[in-house]
Amino acid sequence: MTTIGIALAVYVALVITVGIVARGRSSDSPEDYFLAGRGLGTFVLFMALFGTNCTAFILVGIPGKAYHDGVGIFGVNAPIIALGVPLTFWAIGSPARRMAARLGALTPAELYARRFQSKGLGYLLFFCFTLYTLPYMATAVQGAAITLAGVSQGAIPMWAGGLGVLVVALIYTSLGGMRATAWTNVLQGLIFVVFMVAAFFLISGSMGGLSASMAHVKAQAPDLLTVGEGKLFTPRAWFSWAIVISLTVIAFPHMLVRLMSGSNEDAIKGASRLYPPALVLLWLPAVLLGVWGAAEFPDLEGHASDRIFALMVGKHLPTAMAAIGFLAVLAAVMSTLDAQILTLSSMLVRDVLEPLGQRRTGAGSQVRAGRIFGVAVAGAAYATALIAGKSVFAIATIAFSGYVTLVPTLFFGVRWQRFTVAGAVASILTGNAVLALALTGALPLFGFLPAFWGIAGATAAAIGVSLATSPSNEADTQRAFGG
Amino acid sequence: MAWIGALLLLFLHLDFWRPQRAELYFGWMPEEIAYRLVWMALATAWLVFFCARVWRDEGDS
Repeated sequence: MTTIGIALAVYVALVITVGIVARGRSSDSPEDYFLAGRGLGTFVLFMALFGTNCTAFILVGIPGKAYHDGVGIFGVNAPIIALGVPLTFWAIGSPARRMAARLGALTPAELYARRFQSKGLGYLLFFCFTLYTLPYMATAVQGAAITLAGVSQGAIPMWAGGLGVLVVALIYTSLGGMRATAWTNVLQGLIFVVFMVAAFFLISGSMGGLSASMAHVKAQAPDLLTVGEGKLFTPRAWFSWAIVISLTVIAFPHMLVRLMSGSNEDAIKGASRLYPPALVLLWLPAVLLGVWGAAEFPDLEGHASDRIFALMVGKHLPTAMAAIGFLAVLAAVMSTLDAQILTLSSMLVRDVLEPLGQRRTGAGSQVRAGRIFGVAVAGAAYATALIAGKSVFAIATIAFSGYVTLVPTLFFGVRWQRFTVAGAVASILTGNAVLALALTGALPLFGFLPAFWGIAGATAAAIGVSLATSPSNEADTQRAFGG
Repeated sequence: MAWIGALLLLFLHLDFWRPQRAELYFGWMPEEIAYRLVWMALATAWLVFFCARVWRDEGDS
C-alpha cells in the first residue's frame, strides 16, 4: 500500500508538472490552448493519438475477454485496427486537418459547420459527439474508481477515487490545454506500453518461461489457442466488426481534434506508420496474460474474468512492479479522459458559445471559458457515473456504436465537394435511426452487427440525399477545399 | 496496385478457410497469433508503401 501510495504521488506530481511546463510554453490564444498551435510533431502526435485511443479496457478488459475466448480476441481486433485506423487518418484525418487550418476551425463540429456554413449542422454534431462521449467518460471514471478502491482495499471509496482521477486530469488539462494533454500522453503511453511488455516477460518467466506457460495452456485449455465459435467469430460478424472497429476511432471527436493538431502531413503519416508495431506491443501481452490466467485461475465466470489482470499481476510480479501496473491502468484512463474533457469543453466554447452571439469574445476569454467548461464537462461525466451506476457500461456500449454513424458525414464532408448539408443531416439521422432499429431487433441483421447496418444506412442517405439536393454554394466549397 | 494489396490483406484477414490448430511455433507462439503477426508485418509494409506512394502531400495551403 505504501509503495502504491508513493507511486501514485510521484505520478500525480509528474503529470501536473508537465501541465505547468506546457502552460509556460503556451500563449492565451484559443488555437494554442485547444490545438497546441497546430504544431504537434510525429512522435508527440502519435503518442497523443495512441494514448487517447487506448483505454484501460485494453489492459483490464481484453485479458478478461481472452480468458474466455482465447487468442481469437487478438485476431479479431489488433490486425484490422493496425491497418484500418491509419487508413482513416489518411481518408478523413489528413484532409480534415488541412481544411480546419484553411477555415480557422478548432473543433470537428466547427469544421463541418464552417465547411457548409451551417450552424445547425454544427449543433447536431456537437449534440451527437456529447451524447456518445459522456457515457464513455463515465465508464472511465467508474473503471478508475473500481481500480483505486480495489488496490487500496476499500480505503479509497469509489466516489473519492473517481473524483480524484477527474480532478487531476482537469488540473493539468486546464493548465496547458492540448499541449499538456499531448505531453502527458507521451508519459502515460510509455508507462502502460513499457509495463505491458515488462509484465509479459516477467510473468511468463515466473511461470517457468514462455514455452512452459504456453504448454500449460495447451494441456489445460487447448481451445484457447484457436479462434472460437459464435459471437464475433462467425464470418459475417467478423467482417462487420472489422468495418466498425476500423471506422469508429476517427469518429471520436477527441481523436479527430488531435489529428487537427498535427503540424503537417508528414506528422500524420509518421503516426500512421507507428500504429501497427505499437498495437502489437500492447495487445499481445494483454491477450496472452488472459490466456495464461485461464490456465492458472480456471474458475472465474462471466465478468469476474476482468479480475484476471489484477490476479496475474498480484501473483507473479513484485510489489514495485504491481504498483506500476496500477499506474498503467490509471495512465490509460487519464490519457483518454483528458482528451475528452478538452475536446468537449472546446466544443462548448466554439460550437455553442460563439455561434450563440459571443463572436466578440476575446481570445483570452475563450480560453478562460474553455477552462470553466472543462470543469462542467468533468462534473457532467462524474454525475453520469454516479447516477447511471453499473448500467453506464450498457449505455456506453450503445453510445459507442453511435459514433460510427457519423463516419459518412466526416468522410464525405472533407472528400466530396458535391456533398450537401441536407445529405449530412439525413446521413446522421438515418444512421442513428437504422442503428436504433437494429439494436432493438426491429430489423433483421442477417448475421451482421447492428453498427454495420447503422453505417450502411448513413452512407446510403448521405449519397442519395446529396445527389437529390442542390449543390452547396460554390464559393464556400472552394474556400473549404482550397480550390 | 496499392488497393489490390489492401483487398488482398482484407481477404487474408477474413480467413475462415484456414484450419484451426492448437499448434505452438517456436515452442510458445500459437499458430493463430503467428498468422496474425505475419499479417500485421505485411500490413505495416503496405502502410509504408501507401504513405510513400499513394498518400500525396497535398500541402498546407
